[in-house]
Amino acid sequence: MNTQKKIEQCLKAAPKPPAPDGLLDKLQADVSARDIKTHRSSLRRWFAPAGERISLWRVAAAAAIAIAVLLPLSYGATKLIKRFITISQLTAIKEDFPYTPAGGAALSPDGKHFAGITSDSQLVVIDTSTGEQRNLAENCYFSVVWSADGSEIAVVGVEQEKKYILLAVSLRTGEKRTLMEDPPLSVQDWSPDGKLILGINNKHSAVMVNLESKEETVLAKGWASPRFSPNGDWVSYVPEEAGQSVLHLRKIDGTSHVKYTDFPGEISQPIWSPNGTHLVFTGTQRGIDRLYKDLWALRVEGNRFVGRPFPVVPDVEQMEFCNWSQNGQLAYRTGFRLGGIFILPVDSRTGKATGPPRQLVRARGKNHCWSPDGKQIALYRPEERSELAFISASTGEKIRTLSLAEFEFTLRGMSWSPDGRLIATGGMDKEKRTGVFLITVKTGEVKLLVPVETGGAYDLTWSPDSKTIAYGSKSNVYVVNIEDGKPRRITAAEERETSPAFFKGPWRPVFAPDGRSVAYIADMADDIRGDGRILATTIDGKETREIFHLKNKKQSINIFDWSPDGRHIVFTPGDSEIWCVATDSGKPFQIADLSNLGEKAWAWMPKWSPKGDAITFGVFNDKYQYWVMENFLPAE
Amino acid sequence: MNTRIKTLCKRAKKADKDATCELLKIYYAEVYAYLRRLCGSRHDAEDLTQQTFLKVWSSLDGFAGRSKFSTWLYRIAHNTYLDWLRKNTAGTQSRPDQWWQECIDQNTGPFTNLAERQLAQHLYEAVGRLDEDKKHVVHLHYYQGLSIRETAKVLNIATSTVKYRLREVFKILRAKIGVEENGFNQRQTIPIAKGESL
Repeated sequence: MNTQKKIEQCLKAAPKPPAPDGLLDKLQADVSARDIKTHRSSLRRWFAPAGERISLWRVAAAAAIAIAVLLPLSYGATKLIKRFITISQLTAIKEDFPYTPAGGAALSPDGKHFAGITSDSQLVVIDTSTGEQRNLAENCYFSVVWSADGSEIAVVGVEQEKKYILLAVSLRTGEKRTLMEDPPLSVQDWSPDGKLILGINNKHSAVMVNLESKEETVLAKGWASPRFSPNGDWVSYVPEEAGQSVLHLRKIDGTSHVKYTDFPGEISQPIWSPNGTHLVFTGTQRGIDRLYKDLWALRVEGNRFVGRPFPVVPDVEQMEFCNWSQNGQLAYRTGFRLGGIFILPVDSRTGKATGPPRQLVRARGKNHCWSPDGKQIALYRPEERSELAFISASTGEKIRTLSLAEFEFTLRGMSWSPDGRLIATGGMDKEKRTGVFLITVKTGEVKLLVPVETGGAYDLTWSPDSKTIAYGSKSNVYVVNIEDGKPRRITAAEERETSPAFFKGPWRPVFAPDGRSVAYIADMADDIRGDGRILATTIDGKETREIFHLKNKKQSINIFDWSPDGRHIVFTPGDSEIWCVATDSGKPFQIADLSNLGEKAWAWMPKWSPKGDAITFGVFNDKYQYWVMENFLPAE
Repeated sequence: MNTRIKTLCKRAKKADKDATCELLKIYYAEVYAYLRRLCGSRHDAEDLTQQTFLKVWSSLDGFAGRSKFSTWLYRIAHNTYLDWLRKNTAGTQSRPDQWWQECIDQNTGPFTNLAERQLAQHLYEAVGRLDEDKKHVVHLHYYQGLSIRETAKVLNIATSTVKYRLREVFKILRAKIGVEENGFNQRQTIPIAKGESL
């Protein structure tokens, strides 16, 4: 045993002196003889210092102190507390609702429920405290809007005849009632009295519709994010006028109308504060090499804007706002977009992968195309204010950019002409013209080749001689010669102008490498997944033959591309897998699986490189959370 | 603080004499032993114990229960002892050594052989001759069995200070024991010449 242990043992074993006899009695006698002080509360001691009667003077003094000091203090404290932003996560929301500018999800007025539309078109309601989730309706699209009392949710649904209807779904029972047929495609708001709705119609205009008379009032062209004020007397919306975001405040009967035009940047998504005193909006301003997105507020009093907008929350780039509920919580989605453009090396002879896929560039937009020499990839980046970026196909490095500020938006499927001069894309320009556009690669000049009034033009593809473009529109495939700009329909399906019709019919065309025909996905099943048949029609529309028929009923072809030599087709079924099939044998084989990126990662829009040695594709891999923010406006 | 002591404290605060006596029965012997070891005189220890408990009862109302009742009690006992120490000069104190001698003689305790008893006696004497600061740490932690944290609370110092003082104590005691043991061992090895075996 070492010395320290020995010492410790000795000390611990020190004998204890026994208490002498009689000591306890003596001590107990002390207890009996003396009055032990009784317990008295601090208040009692304050009010009755002598220990007997309560002093009235002291009571009066206490009351005076309370009135003179404590009440103002507590009032000040309340004001102080209200100055602090509180931010909390809605942890009960595990579902990810695809975001739309109309708000794919919304918090109920009392903040107790969160409703949204899932990627498989279910209207889902989640209890924000327990996480209990209920599916209220199927076949719902775009956006959800709560009634002012929180008892119903308005949503656009599809009925048996494939027609759109606006439904009001009861929160409690799930019962549906039809508010109107053929409504605006995206419902943005529902007036507090339940008689009016705001939405975006199929001509991309912001409209107000009377649910009783069905009378439609066009407020502005474009998305414009219209919203009712909390008392229902006013409508705010923000169209773009002469390249400038203009915030409008309009009385619902049209008798008063004011504008705010001085914001030095782009205003999006104005939302009313629950008490109607402010409009908050996302303000985007261009800085050096990047855009700055902040949350701004502008005071509103009756029929006028008061003062100038002021920033309330800086840097909201990662936030997508849903709605501001009556209980004061501004709900928003925040998250990380980990997807982008991936590249997979392949053997051009066999179509088999020669290595694993790798991320070429992280991006929000997936719309991309190869340069004819296979050295660059053009990528549309909506997050960078409609920028067309040219990136190196080997390193992903940005080589140069072209501003597509003339575009309101572009549609799926852009294509670079084989002669390298032009990029064709569908979309809408700032003059609200939709159709097939040609972008001159060198100068960035934009030209509308084919106006397409409704339905838009999708999945553009060039003929090998750079003289003809094929595209999908109104559930059919068209070809157009770029010299005369006159489109010809080469498929014979019934023309359908609007969604959900564009989920059916020949679509997603790809020019055959020989330039004589255009391949496309044949008529689709009832949902958005294809039934697995690829047909090719000659560009004169006279002959159609089957290129490939996917026999596996569990699989489908969501989108495809042809190899440059025409011997293979690459397709994505709409999940994390990429498949390839030889056009002569018809036995598909998997060439990549991205499931290791995460449960929700999925790939689409494969594009075979001009040399045939690589395939690029877009990957969605977004991870989101829902949050609420309160008290972020300055105290009155 | 265990539930029983908590309940007794609550009742004692409400002037329940039975509860007060119960608390007294639980703690008086410990307090007496603590003071007896410190002051070295039975008489003085009895007086100090009485004073300690009178203070306890008079200030029981102020005991908020944030620490153990025993810790609070020891603190009062400790302060009572310090007051007493200040009022009494060193000359009037009894020699603690005498008490240890008596005690060890009367009760051999765990020390089975004479050598160990002698060693223990030397140790206790050495503790008695430590500075007041160090002495209190040994008394509370080793003799009274309080934890380091409780000892720190009683002495109103940091736990790190308690640990430091204990290290210092060991240095001193080790040096003391080293001398004693060497001397003792030397005495034992006298009959045996170097190189011879038993």
